[in-house]
Amino acid sequence: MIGVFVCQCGTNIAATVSTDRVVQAAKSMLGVVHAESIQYTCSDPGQRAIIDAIQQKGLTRVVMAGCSPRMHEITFRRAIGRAGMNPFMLEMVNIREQCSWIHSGIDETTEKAIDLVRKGVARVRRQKPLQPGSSPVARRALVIGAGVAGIQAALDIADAGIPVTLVEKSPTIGGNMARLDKTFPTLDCSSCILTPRMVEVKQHENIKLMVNSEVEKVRGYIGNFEIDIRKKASCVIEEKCTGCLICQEKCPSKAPDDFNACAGESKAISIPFPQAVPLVASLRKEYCRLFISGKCSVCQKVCPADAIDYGQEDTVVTEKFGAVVVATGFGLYDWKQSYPTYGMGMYPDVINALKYERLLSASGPTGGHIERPSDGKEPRDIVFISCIGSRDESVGRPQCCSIGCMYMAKQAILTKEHIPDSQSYIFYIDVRAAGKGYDEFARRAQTDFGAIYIRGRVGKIYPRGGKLVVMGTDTLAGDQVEIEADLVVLATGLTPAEGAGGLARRLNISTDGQGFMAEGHPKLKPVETNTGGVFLAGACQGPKDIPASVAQAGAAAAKVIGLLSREEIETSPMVAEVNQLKCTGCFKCRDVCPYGAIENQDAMGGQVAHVIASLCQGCGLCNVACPPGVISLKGYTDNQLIAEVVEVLR
Amino acid sequence: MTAYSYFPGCSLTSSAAEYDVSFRLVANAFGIGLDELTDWNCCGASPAPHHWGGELGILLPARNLHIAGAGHPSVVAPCAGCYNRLKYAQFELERNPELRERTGAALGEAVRYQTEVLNVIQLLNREIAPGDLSERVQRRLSGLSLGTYYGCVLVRPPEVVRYDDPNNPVKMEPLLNATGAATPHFPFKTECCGSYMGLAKKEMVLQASKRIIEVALECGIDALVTVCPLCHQNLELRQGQINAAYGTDYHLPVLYFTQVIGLALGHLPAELGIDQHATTDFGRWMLDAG
Repeated sequence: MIGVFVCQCGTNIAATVSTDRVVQAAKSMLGVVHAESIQYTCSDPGQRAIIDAIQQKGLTRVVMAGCSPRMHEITFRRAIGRAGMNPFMLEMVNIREQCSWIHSGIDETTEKAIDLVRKGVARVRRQKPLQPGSSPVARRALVIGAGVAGIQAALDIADAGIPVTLVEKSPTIGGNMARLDKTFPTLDCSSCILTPRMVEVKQHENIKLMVNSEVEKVRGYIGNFEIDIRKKASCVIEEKCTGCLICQEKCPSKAPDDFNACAGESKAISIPFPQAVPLVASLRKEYCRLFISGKCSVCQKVCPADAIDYGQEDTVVTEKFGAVVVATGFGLYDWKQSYPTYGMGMYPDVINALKYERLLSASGPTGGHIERPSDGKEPRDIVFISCIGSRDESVGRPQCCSIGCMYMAKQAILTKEHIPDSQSYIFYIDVRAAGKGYDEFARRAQTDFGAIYIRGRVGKIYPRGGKLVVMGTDTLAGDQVEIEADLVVLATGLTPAEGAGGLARRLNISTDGQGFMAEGHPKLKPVETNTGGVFLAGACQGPKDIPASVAQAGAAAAKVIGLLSREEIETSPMVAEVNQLKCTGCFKCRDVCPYGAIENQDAMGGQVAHVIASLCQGCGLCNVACPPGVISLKGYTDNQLIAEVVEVLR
Repeated sequence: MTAYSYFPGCSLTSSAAEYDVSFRLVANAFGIGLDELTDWNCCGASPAPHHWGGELGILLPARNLHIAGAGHPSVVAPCAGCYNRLKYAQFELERNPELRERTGAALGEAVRYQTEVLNVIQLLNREIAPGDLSERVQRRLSGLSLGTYYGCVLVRPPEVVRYDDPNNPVKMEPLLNATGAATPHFPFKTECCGSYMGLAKKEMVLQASKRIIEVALECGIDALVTVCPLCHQNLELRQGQINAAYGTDYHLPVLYFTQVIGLALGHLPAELGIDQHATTDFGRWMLDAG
């Protein structure tokens, strides 16, 4: 007793598929007792029509020909469930994304839709009722990355009474926002608004903070992740260190100042910045004299708290989590190889905007005095160049960095405030200032702060008499431009943070073409991923500014709170099943299972395979690996799949 | 001995005769055979074909390519303009069957267009290992800072010539460094010299070439090295015009790539035609370098 419902989806399907002809064809298929076409099956009247048909015609199996199951499978399972059917006696046939949207001729497209429906009918005819299981939820969340997005997510979740582990790979939390001087469009002091939140993290009773730490291994699934976190040795005993900075002062080994975007110099043992959380020193072995040449232990001698331990080793902590928020933020595009005509890093006065931000910042290496790197002189003419490694097909990076226009305007304003007789020039492609108050702000850079905007790209930068000549075009005037600059600031594009790709693989979530983490659906699942229980916050998902990162972090937190407020969650019944009568006990299935869901069991007079249903994710690997072919996936049995193939080839 | 077909083009038989002489000397020193194409014609780079409707700029080099097709597997065109036209003809013939047919009809037989086209840097890099050159250096050029000037048509358009990085070409450097010379960062290595605008608008050439020399001096460069006769003409021969127009006093030597290698191999400047250059200041320190 199969019913076939063909959705018109307005004109989404009906424009290229004759749904009437699909209905006519369906009526003659084996087992079909009812077929109809509905304008919007997912709408309330559409669902009611389905329920009515089930009840009036006594349907026992349903084929929904419409959109992708990723869109509405849950909707229709619920609908047929309300009609008293087992919700799994449903087959979704995708005649939209994989049919009507991608073909044009109505005859061929209709034909394909009919083939797909025939396939679905054959499959649902062999479907058996399934019962979902349930598994308990671990009531603890993991937040990976402690920039502004991770901090916000951790605090929101912790405030709801749920324990959080916040993992950060660098020695302090704060991320990129902690390096900013002011924020657009209000010119709020960045650290004034961020530092209190950082302290709150440190003090929150529900937050366990782990710095110098990275996620190493992920097992399990939504509600029940088991995750190994490696805490890297920092040679400093965190509990003892008082943050007095004596070790940093006395340390004889110089090291790059990562926090200041290498605008200054740091030491092998250091605290990144005065407001760091935790305020604890870390030692970088690759720069430390002791680890390089074997001689030195100055920091140990001078430490008044006896907090230095050169023999410290990495530790690995394993914890259970119900949900994960990824908030690994962004890195900056390395322009040096792709823009050889800008000097490949050979001119010290061509810098990226983050380094310039550190030169503007009162807590930066120059105390907020703008000094150019080559000779420490105060620059007068400053050229900003937008879209370096963004919106540039020639280097394979077509996307907009989405914040460059705004921070260049901000930096031009701050420059004028720092050096009143300075002149800023901004080479731009378009000024993209779509946020609230953004366009007004960008205009003020011109009207009130005298920044000269030049529409065009820069072709070359070369040195002349201690200055840099910036050669570009003014596409509005149709002319070539040459500016003698003291300092050139590049608005470089945003990339995923270093190591984001590896983390994505460990979490089994996808990334987009540029390596940013992929959301579940661009409109409807902006913080979810394709792996249940793993959520996204901030620039790890794509370039965004602070307000957008914070908003997304709040949304991710809400999802986590919703998930972890449940005692247990329903698990899919579409899991593997071993026919133990025929199992030979080779355990190839156990070896290929990525979820550790197959165990040995004493049965049938020997050792045979057994599926732990609560761990199985229904991926089907064991199904394929089983030499005698005695493992099947419920809802995706070999019978069903072969029947589908036969129908398509008919 | 590896032998190549050789397309000298008009410049190497006239205004850049010293390029031809020095190329043959270097080739000979390393056992590279050069067989000049018989009955070759204009490469198509002269302004005339461009202005007469375009297609001659393809058909003329197509004929040269066809002649080369009967000879060795590869043809070398030292002049950057000739090289570019041969590559262009090959590019167009490869993707346009209809053009192949028309060209074949004009030639009276199916056009041969698949001969490998090499420029002089490519050829020498293939035949001479930097280590070998270094061992054979008679006059080490240590202490010289050479500015590698590639010009535009050797590396552009990249989809046609497919040679080196169009924004930062570096293929000349290894052999030059093997002579002991330094090749410091030179940001104008592909900047336009003004090309054949010298005929129509001389000021434009003077302005463009002046800036290249100015930046070279700013970078501490003792001499520019090029593979293009037209660039050489604009940068070297016109230095007097530049000085007259701008009141400058430039005497920056500009050498062909093959002349530098020839010098390092111990040839006298006169043997390499360097004495024919307008900027003869060069001799003063070049001979000292020996």
